[in-house]
Amino acid sequence: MPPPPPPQLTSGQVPGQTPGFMDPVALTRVKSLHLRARLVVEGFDKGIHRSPYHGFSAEFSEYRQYTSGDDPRYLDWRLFARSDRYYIKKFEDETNLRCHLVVDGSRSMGYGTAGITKWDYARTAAATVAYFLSRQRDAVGLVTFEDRVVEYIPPRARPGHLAHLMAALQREPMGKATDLAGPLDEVGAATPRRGLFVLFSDLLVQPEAVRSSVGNLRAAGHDVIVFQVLDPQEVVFDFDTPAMFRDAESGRELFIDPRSAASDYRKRFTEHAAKVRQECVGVGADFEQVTTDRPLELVLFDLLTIRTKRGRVPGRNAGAGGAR
Amino acid sequence: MSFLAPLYALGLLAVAGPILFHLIRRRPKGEVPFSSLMFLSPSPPPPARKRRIDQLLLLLLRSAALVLLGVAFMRPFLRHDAAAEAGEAGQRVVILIDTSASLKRGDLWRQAVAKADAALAECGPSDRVAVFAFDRTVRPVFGFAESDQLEPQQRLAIARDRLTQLSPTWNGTELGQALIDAAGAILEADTKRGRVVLVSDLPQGVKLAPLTGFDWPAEVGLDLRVVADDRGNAGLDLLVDRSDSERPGEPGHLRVRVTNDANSRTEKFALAWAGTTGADTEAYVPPGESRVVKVARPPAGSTPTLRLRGDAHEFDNALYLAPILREELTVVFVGTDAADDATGLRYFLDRAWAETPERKVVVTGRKPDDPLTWDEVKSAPLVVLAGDTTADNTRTLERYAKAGGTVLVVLPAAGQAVTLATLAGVPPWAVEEAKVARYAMLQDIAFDHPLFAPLSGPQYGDFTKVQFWKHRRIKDLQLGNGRVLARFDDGDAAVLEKPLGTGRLVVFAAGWQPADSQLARSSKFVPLMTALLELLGGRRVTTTNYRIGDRVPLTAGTTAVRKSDGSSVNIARDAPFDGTDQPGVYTADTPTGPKPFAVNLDPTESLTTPLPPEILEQYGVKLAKLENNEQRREAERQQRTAELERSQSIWRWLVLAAVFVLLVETGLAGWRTWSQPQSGSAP
Repeated sequence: MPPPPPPQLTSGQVPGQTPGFMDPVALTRVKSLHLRARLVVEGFDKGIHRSPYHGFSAEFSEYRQYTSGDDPRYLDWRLFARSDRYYIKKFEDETNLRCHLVVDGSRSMGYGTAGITKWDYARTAAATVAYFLSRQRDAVGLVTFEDRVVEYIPPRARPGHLAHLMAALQREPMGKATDLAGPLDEVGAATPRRGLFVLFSDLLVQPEAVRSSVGNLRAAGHDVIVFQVLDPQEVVFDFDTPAMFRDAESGRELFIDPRSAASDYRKRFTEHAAKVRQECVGVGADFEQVTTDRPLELVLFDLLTIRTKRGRVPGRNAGAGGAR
Repeated sequence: MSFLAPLYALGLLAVAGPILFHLIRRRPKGEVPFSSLMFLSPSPPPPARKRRIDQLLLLLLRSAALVLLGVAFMRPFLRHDAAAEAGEAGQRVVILIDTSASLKRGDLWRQAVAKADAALAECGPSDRVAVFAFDRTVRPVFGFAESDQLEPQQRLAIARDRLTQLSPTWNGTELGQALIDAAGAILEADTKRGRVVLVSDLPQGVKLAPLTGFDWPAEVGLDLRVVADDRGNAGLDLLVDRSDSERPGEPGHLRVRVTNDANSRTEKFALAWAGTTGADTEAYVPPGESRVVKVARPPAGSTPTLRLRGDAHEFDNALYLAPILREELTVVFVGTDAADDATGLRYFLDRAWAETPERKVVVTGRKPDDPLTWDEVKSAPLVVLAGDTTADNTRTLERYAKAGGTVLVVLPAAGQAVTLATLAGVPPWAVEEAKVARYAMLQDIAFDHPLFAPLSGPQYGDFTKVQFWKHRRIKDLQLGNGRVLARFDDGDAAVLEKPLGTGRLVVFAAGWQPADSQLARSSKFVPLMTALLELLGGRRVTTTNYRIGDRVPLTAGTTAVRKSDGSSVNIARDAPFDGTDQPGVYTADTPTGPKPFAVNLDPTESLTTPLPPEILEQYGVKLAKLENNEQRREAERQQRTAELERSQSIWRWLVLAAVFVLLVETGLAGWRTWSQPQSGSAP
């Protein structure tokens, strides 16, 4: 399946400035996460409504080509009549994706300079994905963590589950430090069935910790997509007044003169980001770095793109083409 | 720079606050929360000097605001030279010493001088002191102008010296005006603050009426120093209506009011004429009351003095009387009317001048043809001519008029006015009878002329009820340079006057008898006739009883007045006499001989019971309450300081400056904050 193209720009939108997308800051004015997610998804739909592609249906198709050993009861004879191929009609719950949205609620996520904190951005993105998936009746679960798991909602596709999930995201975190390994291992152990893990975190931890925790999930057979949510200021670091900089998590204070420290910071930050990406990719996870000024629709788009690419991985969805 | 509330200086300690905060907070002011410091290395600390300079400006601004506020609370004021001088000079003190006649009692004057002296001694070296004496008038004894030029010690000595030169007079007590003048003297100064030290026996008879129309200034206090004599006093007063009891030739009596003080210990008094051996008249007057006593008339001859016996104080126990001088005047009437003819002119003329104790007017009639001698008319104040008379008589009248007499010519009927024309020096003409529709009235009356002046008041000047049934016509210029004093409402002259030599010719164009007019029966007739009498030599002075300080009108031509103590005062031409400064019988040297008049004490001076000070307060006078001199000085100093501070109101400017400094500080701090890059928000 070809990857879905980027959402089409509607008339009046200026390319390059992502017009037509919701400004994340403006979106935070909407209190309800559910409504936020709906706005993003509808905006996303609006952008793609003319597209002939309808997402990554191979993953969610109700049909699978018959292989030996399959129960012949589920053969779709009508499709066989049309296509002269054997396809199996799968049960819905079996075909649905089990997606875990893992959102980092540590104190460093509370940082934000563009009018929106990383936490707000991450949970809105998570809500958007949850809304999008639940619209397709996929099972969506939620894990919020700090240095431990704060909230764990197993994936469900029941009506009302989304509201439950939104309510959990609505709560403000009280966390301090970030510990990726512990919570992710804990959730991975609690999820025996294969599923998709979408991690929203600033990943301001040692890259090795990322490797071990994400690697464990991958080892358990889960698909993992890592969104590193960053504040633009964290990337560019363009402060110009010397000041005491206080660590959001540890409370430690340092006197920093940005004029002398910026270049060093950027260098080390870039190195860290590259290392993290490398670690993720190395264990087979997908990695995407987003800043909080990026429209949330694009996050959704990124997710779908990644999934689509993932769908093309040989050996996993072989023979799935032409299912529709 | 001085401060009204220096204790607020403790508030300046608050300046230590910002300094302390600035010292404590040595680290950079801006704290930037950041997600993680894992990529950051600590920078070397900024140069301390620069940081201090930045903070120093804010520190200075904050400290300045606190200092300004603290100083504002201390209520500062500038004690510049003039203010300091005024403040140090403190206040103006007017020592107002009573020199009225009531101070002649006992040792009151000695007490008064002692109290004034004590008041002088109480004045501080910086006080500006003046001494005023008052009785009927206020006299500066030691003025501010003189006082200001002297050293304090010198000033005190001179003021005391002037005090000793004073003595009580015979005048009454015009306390109200004296207080107003004293307060006015204080208010003239720049300081406008002060006190009046009143040294007086404060008798009940003081006159306070002027205070009713005076708004007593709040800045001036009245310090009362009352001298008292507890022996009581009785006084005499002659009741004025002597005409009933003093008719010449009739045995009568004088009515005298005897007043006795409330705190007097005597009730029985005796009245007797000085220098006589006659029986005394007993008078029983309980304390606090007065009685009118009838006293037998004095023996003829010497100028009598009635004395009151039994009173402790002599100053008001004598009553001087001057004999009434009776004038006998003869008015000559030349005309045909009989004295008993009620339709004629003469009949009313006889009755125009009623007999009084001071004057008797006799009208002698002459027929027009009867010869009129010079001796008959030369002393007459008025000659009335009705119609014409002989040429000889006319010459006599002309001579009389030119010698200062008044000839009144009444035109009784139309016809040739020969005598009138001759007297006026014009050719004879035929006088016509005017055509009067119903009646004529007077208009264009010359009220400025002595003839009508007594009727010039608005309540007397209504002549509309004086109707003339008929009159003769005289044209304005027919008498030459005569002046028309009144006209009929048809335009003809009614009363004319033409000067002749030093005398005058007065012409009535209508008679006053009922056939011609209602004039004789109107209320205007008697004043008119009396004024005619007085045209010669002016009004006679008939009053002979005056009080101390009264202005005595003198008969024209009086050259000198001899006082009761034998001294003589020369009188300028036609000037009144203002020197009634002692009781007794005075003698005016008039052209017609010496005329005595008596001057007595103001009877209110005999009312010596002290007036309650509350009465003064009822008139709005602010009494100084503080007895303690030091307390008073301190209170006055504080009040001065407070007033000075209030007038300058420097604290307002300081508060404004503090607000301004705080605004600048806020602006500066805000600008610094905004000039820093936007930092992240803490979770």
